[in-house]
Amino acid sequence: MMTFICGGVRSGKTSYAEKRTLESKLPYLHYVATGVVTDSEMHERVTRHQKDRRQSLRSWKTWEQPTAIGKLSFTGDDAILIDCLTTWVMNEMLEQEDMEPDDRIGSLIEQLDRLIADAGEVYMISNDLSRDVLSDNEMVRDYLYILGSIHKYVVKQSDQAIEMVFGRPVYHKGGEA
Amino acid sequence: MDFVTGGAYNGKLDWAIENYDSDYTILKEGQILGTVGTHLLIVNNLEVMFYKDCMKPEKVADQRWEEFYHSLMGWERADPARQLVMIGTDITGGIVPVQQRDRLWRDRTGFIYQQITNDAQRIFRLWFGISEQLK
Repeated sequence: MMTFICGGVRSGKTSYAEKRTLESKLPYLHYVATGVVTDSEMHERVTRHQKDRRQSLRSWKTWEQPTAIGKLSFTGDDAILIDCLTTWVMNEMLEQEDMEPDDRIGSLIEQLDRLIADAGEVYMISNDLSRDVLSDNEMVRDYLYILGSIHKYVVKQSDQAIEMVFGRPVYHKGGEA
Repeated sequence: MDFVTGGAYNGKLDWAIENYDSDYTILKEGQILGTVGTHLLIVNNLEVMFYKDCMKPEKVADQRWEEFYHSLMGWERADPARQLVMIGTDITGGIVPVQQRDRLWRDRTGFIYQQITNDAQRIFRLWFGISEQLK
């Protein structure tokens, strides 16, 4: 079972995804954090999310995984929350810069497939960055092309695809749970 | 005329080709409409045309657009079997651009999309491959 949750910044994506993961009937909850702490604001953000999870009714196992999320292995008893695809794709691009966009998409999809196939439930968070003016910077264009392609793939594979609009979930696929 | 919009890389053109499921022509820049041999005509990447026009004097740009737009609508009206599909990327949802040209570009794009949505028979918004009919 896979759910895709996408929206703008401060749209309540993480809170909503956490709530949904907490409601899972599966015994083990995992939080896959792809963000890299680069400054104090980021540190504060991460600390807040960690505190929220510590105070949560169920216990979470946190994985700091900026790249290579396909290396993690899960079973049908695991519900995993991936936060988020946007930073993961960027980290992958920065780690290995000399890869053609279409090859990159293929390799990222391979990693995602492994996760989706093994875990009992997957909740994936991402940011919608696609409505900005088109950049004349090649790397930005490549990034948006890769991210958009990954989003389309994830939506296709998802049982539910949700756009978060200021805390309100809009279902594009799968109806209300 | 139908209008298909949504953010960049959301699968607008692929969706249109699959959804309308008939022989189609994707209009090339400068192509004469008389040479379109299919009943389905797709005009893709409208926003690119607006980018080229946004630094021209407004009157000149408006006139160029109106002539082009009317010729397309006229093409569709000439035969009831014809279907015109206009596709434009929504570029209006980011932070205010630093460059004046980009600000003018997205303003112009937003205004013209309003005109198109007003005239369109149906409007579809694509969200990562999924369509939502707005009209």
